[in-house]
Amino acid sequence: MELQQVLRQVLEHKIEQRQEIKQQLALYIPEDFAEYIDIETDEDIGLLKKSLPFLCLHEFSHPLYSRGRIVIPEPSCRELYHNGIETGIDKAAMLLGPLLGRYTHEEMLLSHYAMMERVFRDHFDLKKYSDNESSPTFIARLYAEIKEHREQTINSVLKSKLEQLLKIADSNISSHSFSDVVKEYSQIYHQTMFVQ
Amino acid sequence: MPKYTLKEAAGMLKTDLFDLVKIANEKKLKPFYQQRNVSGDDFVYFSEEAIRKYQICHQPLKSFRRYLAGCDEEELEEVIETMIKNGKFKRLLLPEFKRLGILERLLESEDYEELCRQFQGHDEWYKKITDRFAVHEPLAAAKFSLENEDLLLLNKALANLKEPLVLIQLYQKSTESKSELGRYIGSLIAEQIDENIEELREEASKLGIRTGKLGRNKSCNPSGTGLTSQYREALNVVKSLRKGIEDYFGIKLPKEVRLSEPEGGYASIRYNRRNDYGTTASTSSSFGA
Repeated sequence: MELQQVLRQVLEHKIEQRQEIKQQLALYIPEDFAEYIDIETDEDIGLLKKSLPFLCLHEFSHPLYSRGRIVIPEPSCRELYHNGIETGIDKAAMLLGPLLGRYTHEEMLLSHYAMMERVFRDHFDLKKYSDNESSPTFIARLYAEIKEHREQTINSVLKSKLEQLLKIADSNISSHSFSDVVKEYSQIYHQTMFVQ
Repeated sequence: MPKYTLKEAAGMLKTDLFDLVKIANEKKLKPFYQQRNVSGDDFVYFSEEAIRKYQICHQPLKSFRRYLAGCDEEELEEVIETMIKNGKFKRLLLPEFKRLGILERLLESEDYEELCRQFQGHDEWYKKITDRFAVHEPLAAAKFSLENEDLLLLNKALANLKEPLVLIQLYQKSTESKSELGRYIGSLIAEQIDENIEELREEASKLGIRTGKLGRNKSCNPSGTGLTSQYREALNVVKSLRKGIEDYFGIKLPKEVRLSEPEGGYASIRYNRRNDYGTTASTSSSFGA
């Protein structure tokens, strides 16, 4: 019994120390990076690594868009505006990887999937956000992109993973207008392009 | 029976006379024969067996290892026999031990009691045993005298060698071989990129264990966290992508690619909430258009 207590104490102590490490890491991470990376669980590190190319290129696409280097079709109404533009930004990120010669299209698809895996986990498995917080247009945007990527990938494993995500979304969505929004975002995705 | 003078014995053991006398006084090396001549000088003789026993059972590890390196297989077998006979089996080092496949033979025999007796406190060997822990639970049970519930905990800690701190605690209770333990813990730590090395070192240090150099895992960065090295790696990706974009488009991205007007544009929709990808709340104001 005494040994058991020691073991428990050690394990508890270790958990506490891990928390401290996370806090220390937060201080250690360079400022420009710390702004958009957060460690929630150790498992997130792997996902983060995989999704980093997409995440970074998405964020870098914003200033490119504001400087007129990316053309994104205007969303049809104010309600659809934010995620409509973000759909275009996502598309730009997907294009940027191969354009810079840094990632193949397939690598970008995988990177995007890693991000979606995390988003779906937080939304649907962990239910981290209430229905009020979780924007239907946000889900519609993801849905549109996942659908596009499912058609584009040549990787059968990725294809079935994307199909799985779509099923999860289908089983969680009840809005009648959802498919119309998805359709609009799909068009935006198709029509987004870079200009010289 | 061959006998050796003090000087000859010192030569065989590659030590100086002074040390040898000291050793002899500590009774680790018993003189075989001692006499005083007419002028009052002592003549001390050692038997070959006594010298060999000292070599195998008491000689400092470093020189013992040198000695072993020069042994052929037949001699090594003899060394092992001597060790077993004198209860010093644990001194046999892993390379030699591998050469003879002794552990495999012992594990196959599944004579756990004998294994525990022989391996008590020998950490490198114990590591080999714990690698097979799942199929040799009775061994761990015998070594630590554990009950079932403890075994489950221990199994969790040891099965993949994921919990070095638990190991440290357990070893503290069960071993006297601190330096070998330190090396062992050090090697465990080196294997665990995602663990905080400093944390483990400190913990080990509190327990009086020196972990030594981390050995083969050169990727562990000096700051002590594998996790941090992943962050650095990620940061390099960010920097490199930024440069790639700047070169390709011939523009300079803002030093801080961050929203300067949080109230403006569609960014306000993201107000005080996660960013679109759920990475962190602070992203709500970052990289805006």
